[in-house]
Amino acid sequence: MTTSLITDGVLIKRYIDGNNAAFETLLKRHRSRILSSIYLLVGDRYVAEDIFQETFIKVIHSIQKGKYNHEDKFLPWVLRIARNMSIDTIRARKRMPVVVDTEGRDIFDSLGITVESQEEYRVAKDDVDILRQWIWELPEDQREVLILRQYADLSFKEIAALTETNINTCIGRMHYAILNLRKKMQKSVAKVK
Amino acid sequence: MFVVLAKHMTRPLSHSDLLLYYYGEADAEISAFIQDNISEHPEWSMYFQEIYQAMSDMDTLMISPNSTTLSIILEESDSKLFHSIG
Repeated sequence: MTTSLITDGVLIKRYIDGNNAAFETLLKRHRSRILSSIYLLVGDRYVAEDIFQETFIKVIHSIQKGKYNHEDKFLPWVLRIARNMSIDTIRARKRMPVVVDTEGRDIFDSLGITVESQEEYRVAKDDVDILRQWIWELPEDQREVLILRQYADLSFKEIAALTETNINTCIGRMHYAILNLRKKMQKSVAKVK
Repeated sequence: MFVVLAKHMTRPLSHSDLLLYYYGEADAEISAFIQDNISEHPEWSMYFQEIYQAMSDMDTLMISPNSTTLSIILEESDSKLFHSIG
């Protein structure tokens, strides 16, 4: 049996039974989806990496303490933890006072760390940056559904449970996220022409 | 809101149905209906095309954690205390 055919639930059971390679498989299976989702939520690569690490440490401790009881819902469970940490981080950064240097510039700018809304600081350097910028410019609720559906591969039902909304609200937000992205793409094409 | 009044359906088919279908989450009856009738509804194809075009480049934004982060996590997962208890 190849590892891709083994469910997350089975891998967790194997890990609990002492097979550490099973946990490594889980980590490899979901690492990009989870980190990319966190990154697009918080908008800072280094902060995203920290949240990713903290999330998995918390996941490991929960499993080790026998607190995992989500069967094959591993990814939604991990993303719930990651999302909560991301929201806490965003809120904490918004509360941080802006520290200025002697010339009145935000001291975090010179360190490459931002405390305000990320889109204000972004300079689109290439297509990837532009696309990331467009996602960042979406209303927060639309952006969240888009990330969780497209990157994290959660179903709309799972997203509704995670965000404590109903499925129709999630689908509506996704619909408008798509329309808004398409508008930005079409404007961009029109500018080039 | 994008709404299509579809033949043989007891309720209008909405963009929500099409989105669920696109992501493989529509129920079997609606999926079969869309498959059987898509040729008569170019607006459905256009909507799927809109979704596809909006999403086609999204995978380019995927990133992977650095090796140090992965090492720290794997080291934590290999806790001897946990396995000795287990």
